Amino acid sequence: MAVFTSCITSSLQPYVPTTESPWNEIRVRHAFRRIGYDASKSMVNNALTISPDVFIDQLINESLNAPNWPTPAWAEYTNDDYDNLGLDFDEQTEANHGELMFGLINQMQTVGLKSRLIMFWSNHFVTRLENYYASNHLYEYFNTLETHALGNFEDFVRAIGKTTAMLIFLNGAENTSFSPNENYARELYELFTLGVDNGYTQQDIVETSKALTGYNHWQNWTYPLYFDSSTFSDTNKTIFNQTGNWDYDDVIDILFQQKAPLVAQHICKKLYTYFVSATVNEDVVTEMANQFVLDFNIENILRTLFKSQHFFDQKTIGTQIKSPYDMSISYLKVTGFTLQQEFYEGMIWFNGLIGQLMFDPVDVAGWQGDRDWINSSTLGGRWEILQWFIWHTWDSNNEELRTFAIESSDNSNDPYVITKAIIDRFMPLELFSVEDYQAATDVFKHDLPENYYENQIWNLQWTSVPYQVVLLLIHVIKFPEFQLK
Amino acid sequence: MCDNQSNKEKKFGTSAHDMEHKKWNRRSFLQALGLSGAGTMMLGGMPLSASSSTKLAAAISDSESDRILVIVRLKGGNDGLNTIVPIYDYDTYATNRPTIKHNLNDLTALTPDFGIPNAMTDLLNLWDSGAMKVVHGVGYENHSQSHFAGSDIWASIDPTNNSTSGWLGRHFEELYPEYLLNPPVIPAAVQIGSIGNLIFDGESNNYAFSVANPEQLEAIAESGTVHDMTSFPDCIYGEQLEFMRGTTNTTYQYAGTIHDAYSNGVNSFEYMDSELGKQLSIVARLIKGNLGTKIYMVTLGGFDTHANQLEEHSTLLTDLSNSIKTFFDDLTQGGFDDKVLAMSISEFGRRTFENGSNGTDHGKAAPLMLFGPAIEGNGFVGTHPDLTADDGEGNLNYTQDFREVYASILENWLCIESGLVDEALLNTTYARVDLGFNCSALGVEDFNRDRFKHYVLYTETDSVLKITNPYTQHTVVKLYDIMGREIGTLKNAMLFAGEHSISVKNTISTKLNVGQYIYRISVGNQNYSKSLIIR
Repeated sequence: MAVFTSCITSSLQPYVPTTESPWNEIRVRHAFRRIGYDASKSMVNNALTISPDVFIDQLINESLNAPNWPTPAWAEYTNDDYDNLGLDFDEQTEANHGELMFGLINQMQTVGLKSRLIMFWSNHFVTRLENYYASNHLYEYFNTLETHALGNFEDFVRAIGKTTAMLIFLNGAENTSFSPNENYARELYELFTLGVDNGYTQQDIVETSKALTGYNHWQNWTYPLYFDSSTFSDTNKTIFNQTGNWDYDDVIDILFQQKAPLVAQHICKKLYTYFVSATVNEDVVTEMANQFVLDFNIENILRTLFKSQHFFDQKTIGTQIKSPYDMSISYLKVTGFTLQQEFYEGMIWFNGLIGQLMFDPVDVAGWQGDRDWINSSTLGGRWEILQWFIWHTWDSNNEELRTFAIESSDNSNDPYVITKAIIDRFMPLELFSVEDYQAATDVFKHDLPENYYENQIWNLQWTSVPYQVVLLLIHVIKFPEFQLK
Repeated sequence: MCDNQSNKEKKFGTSAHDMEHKKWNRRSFLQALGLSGAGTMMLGGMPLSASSSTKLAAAISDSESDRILVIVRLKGGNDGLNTIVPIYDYDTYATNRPTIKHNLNDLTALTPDFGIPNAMTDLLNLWDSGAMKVVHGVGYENHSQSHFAGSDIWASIDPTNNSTSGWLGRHFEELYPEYLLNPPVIPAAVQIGSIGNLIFDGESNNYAFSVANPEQLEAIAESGTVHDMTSFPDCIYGEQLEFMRGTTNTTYQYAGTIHDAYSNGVNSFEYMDSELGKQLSIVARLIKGNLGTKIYMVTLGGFDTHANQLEEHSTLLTDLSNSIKTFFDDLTQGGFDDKVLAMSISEFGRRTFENGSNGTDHGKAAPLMLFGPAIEGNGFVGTHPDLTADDGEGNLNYTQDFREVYASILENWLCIESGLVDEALLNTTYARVDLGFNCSALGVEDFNRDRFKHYVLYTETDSVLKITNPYTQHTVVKLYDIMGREIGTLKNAMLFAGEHSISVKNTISTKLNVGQYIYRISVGNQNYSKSLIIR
């Protein structure tokens, strides 16, 4: 992309509503969609009764206070445990994966920020489920994410590198004093903390990998990895000009002692890209980094960011392309439609088809997101999935379609008003091409003779209404704006 | 050292559940299939193979292969009696509707027995030159008087209103067996308005490129894109909107083709700036621009004249008449006029007597009009319903089953083989009516009625693909996800003549998640593809 100054120029100073920048539905929905996974109408209405400051605090505190996912029975099961229980390892493993992912999907609808951060951090501290596979490793990794998501970043880095999932994925498990493997050392700096070629040399990587040795021991691949000094490189290493017989914890200590500002900048840029826009405002990122470097507290920096003028700037709204999970969960939150059990579980499969398989990012750099999610093929896939949902509601709960129309339009009987109200609930901003509302209204009017509308004979109680809403939804989900938040 | 297994072939999510049987509404079930409606996306990553024509397509001889059908839907239930006025029984007519009758001297006689009101005099040229016919009393047994059921039945031809496909949708399904994976390069049909109407729905696809109104089609035809690419808001939102519009546009595969035809075609006459005028002017350009699409449907709404009928009906009939006249004048300039047949349809007629609001209520049988020089001679087809022998409530009894009209158009205008016509009409042979046109003797082979057939049978626990081979042949069946990626092979063997069953769930080695898939059958040099569901 060409280098240019971001056109969003407001600062990190707190947002205070004004007549030019009112605290309105558009801003509230924007916040819900960036911070969590969207909101119901009542959640939006409630938010409007409090100040943005209080609102953001509520959202963050809700996630801070949310308990971790209840430890499953299988949290530490190895293949021997399954054998002893007379259970099939593969069958149970798959079921466990599903259970955990399903739990996260549930959480997306109730504690949006925490689940979003789990997704974000799993895309930062990347591991790939298909590499380590065992569900106890998945749980350990997942538990580390949820525990540290809003906590101290240094603690996070320290903890994640010792998870078996990470040790397998980045070959820490194979990094021994006899045969070093630089993969983790490199990615620790290049991806997880500093950024490409930003403050480290190849020599630093070589030396660091020696310090990380020793975590090479397990009974078999379904067991957790543990440290044993027999494979530890017991010698001096020089990392960032610091020399000593460093071990894993020393590496983390030295990194944050020597390179804190660079780490802060790198992480804040990632946070900005993820929560604000792929087009980065370097000044704002620097301002964030200046705060983040002081305590490396994720909760604090997010509180500052989410309360800022920059975050709530009119020009920030609608600038991101929804991820597959954004799209799916947002649709369900806005409509409030009930989805039967196997459809929720099918969602894991659907979102995987269009590019986002949970805990399996495309590569170690994670999903780049934004425009990368979209091509003709995945866009068509998105339409198919949404139509699938729509027809499911028609088939199983079609009165919900009527309820949705009534709720959206305050039970209006003007088809244009209803159509516009429904469209505006989904889109980040009012449609740029106003004639799109009229075309959508024509779709919504379906086969009823025009005079039923002109003479106000028709209303939302008619038996035709659920099907009319279906036709409108099928039309609306294909709007380009539908994929933006 | 450790053993680091990678389990790429593992699928996550649930295993198949033996849920208690869900009653799927058949309409939704089938309409959920099919990729985003016709004219939208192509499956990603699927290589385009050369589409070999079906025998059917090949059999349509060149001289008739460029025939076009334009369906003019009069939405709301057109009052036939005030359209084609039965002068031969004027007294009964007038007594029934003292206020809203047409006066005799406001009528122009087409024959001594029937006349048209002043609003329709623009059609006289067509009538006089032998390019207009009227079929009397078109309807069906137990004619529905509901807009919805009525419209559905006219589209599906199923009077019990259970079918979820339309007569033309079924025709296209036969014509394009590979539609999902290898659609034709031009839209099979173009539809303006009537969104949600069944007429172009097949069992698992909709075959029309549809737009809600003529303005939309005009914008698409002029720009070649569905979404405008010339104007955007500023800053990042504008950039993202531009990106999304651009990608969205490329998933609509027919916009460019329509644009090319529209640019080539020119209107040689000015149309009324009216609902039908706008639609037919665009259709004329597409035809004259050689789009190649053979079926169009346009919609004129407002015929549900429960009140103030005279004025409203007059406006509509003026629009109808002038637009049809201009349409054929326009087509004549390109030499297309004798290749186009226009047909009016309406979900029902209206009562013989007026109501208390100077209007009429829903009725039953009504006339159906045909336009185009190819009908070779004006006239009335069939018998007008007896005004004095209605059903007791003012509804005219039908004298011509509408399905016979459809059958005649399929066989004698579109030149579809007789057996296939019957299939498209839900496996019933309807009598053919002489409407004035036919297909020259093709000398075609008698189509083997024992043709290749395929469908999916859904049981409580499985989705079973049923195949009927007319003779022993090598059969390959593959399964794809909705992104067009191959999942596996369901069959690759020599299959004997006769019926075969393939359990999809049991045949594929990977566990299939609930959802929609596509299967593709290759036999001989023909491919067939359709959706199926795993639930």
